[in-house]
Amino acid sequence: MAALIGNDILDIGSRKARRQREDPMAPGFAFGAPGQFDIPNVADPAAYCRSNFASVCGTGDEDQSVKFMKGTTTLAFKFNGGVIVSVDSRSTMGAYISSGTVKKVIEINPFLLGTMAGGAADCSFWERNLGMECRLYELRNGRRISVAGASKLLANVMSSYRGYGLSMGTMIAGWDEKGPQLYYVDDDGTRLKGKIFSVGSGSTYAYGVLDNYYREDLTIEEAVDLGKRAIYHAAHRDAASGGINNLYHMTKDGFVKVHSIDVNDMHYQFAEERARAMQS
Amino acid sequence: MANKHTTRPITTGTSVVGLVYDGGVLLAADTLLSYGSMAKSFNTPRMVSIADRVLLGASGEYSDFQEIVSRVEALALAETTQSMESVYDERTLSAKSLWNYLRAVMYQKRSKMNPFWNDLVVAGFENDAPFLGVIDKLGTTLQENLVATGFGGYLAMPLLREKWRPDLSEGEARALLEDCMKVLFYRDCRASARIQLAKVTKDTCIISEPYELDHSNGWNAPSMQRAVGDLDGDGGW
Repeated sequence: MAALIGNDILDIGSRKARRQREDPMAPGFAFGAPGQFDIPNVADPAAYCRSNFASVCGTGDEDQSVKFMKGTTTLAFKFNGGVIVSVDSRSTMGAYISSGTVKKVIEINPFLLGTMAGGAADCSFWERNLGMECRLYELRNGRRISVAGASKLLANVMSSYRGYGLSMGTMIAGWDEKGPQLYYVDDDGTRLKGKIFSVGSGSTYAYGVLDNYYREDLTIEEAVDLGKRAIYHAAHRDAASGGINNLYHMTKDGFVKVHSIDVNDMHYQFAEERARAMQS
Repeated sequence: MANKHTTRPITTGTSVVGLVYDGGVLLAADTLLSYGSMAKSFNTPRMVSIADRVLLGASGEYSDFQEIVSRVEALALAETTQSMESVYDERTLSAKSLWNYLRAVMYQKRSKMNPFWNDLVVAGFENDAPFLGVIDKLGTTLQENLVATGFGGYLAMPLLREKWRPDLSEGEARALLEDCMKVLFYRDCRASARIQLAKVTKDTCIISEPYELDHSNGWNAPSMQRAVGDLDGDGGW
């Protein structure tokens, strides 16, 4: 059976169905029926991923040969004026910056945004997949899916592949019939509803700023500034975060992309601000 | 009690880059200290002048570097005050002897399975000639016209090799090193845009104050698209 499994991702569905006919007891089919995504062709996929794919943070696993794109700061918070989603743009492989201009906010549809932390491929693949499922829901039911529903679809996929080495930490932000919504979903199937989330190696720094300055009655301008500042402080201290701050605002009319600012330029702006504050 | 050996660095500095130009040696290093992936300190020099006309720069574990500097400064003092020759002659520690001494130290340490976790760069000017050499954490020594430690070995070395000439002027050398530091800032997680230059010539041995590289063009900076090391910049400081 193993000899039949190749790496051709273009024909995942039918090949997997074929495999299922050949050996219904093969590992990988015990968990639900994902039916559309190949897992590493080895006896223990989870162990395989652990020993071959390393994270950028910490030094314990740097001997691993292939490193996931991992270092990140992403954050999102709900307030009276909607949801702010703010991310950095650095992609790293070990200490090497493989790109400084990554888009980490995935525009699933005008009323749903997803953020990307963890494996870049896992995030973009499964959030694209989520976009498709949401569109199908819309066509079948004649109305948009709720954010709770959309995040649950993603969480269910994550649960069904639990232990198979996926790497994803995402926030699903949106606006539905019940107003602004924010969920956190990750690769071990966790799904949380909340007001403030931050994900990635720089999240601790971002939380520090967010927890300190967050209020529910923030004006839109203040909220945008908070989202920007939190990313700046994370990028400043965390080696694996940096580049450009992309910031989105989810409103009742759908998302608005507010800005893309180089975090290095913010450094001077904030330094000036501090200098002025010292004077007065 | 079991002996605790150094098996990984804790507080680290990243690359040191250096080259020989017409009339001297120029080194560059940024001033960021990292604690794992956290940026710990933003303004810490990693290049020091050990003696007249002798510079030492280091990447790797910063505490080990401090220990090396204090040992070597004591050595330099002894050389100028206690050696037989110093009685009759004004004698200072030379770059080449420092380089050789550090090779012995680094090799002995690593042979005891407890290395100083640094790659060191020694620069100097003696007998009317520039000197530039490296010692790695295993005690390997190389004397070269171009050196780059850490990430610089991968990212700066190709640029240096492409643009280097033995008759490079100081201005060209500086522009080239600044280009290298910019590329490192953009591609190395543990690098920063706040750098220092250090030069040693026949007449001087100075280390600049830390200053910020101009990165106002972001990822669109010309040097990110094309290295311009020998084409612009008037140099001199």
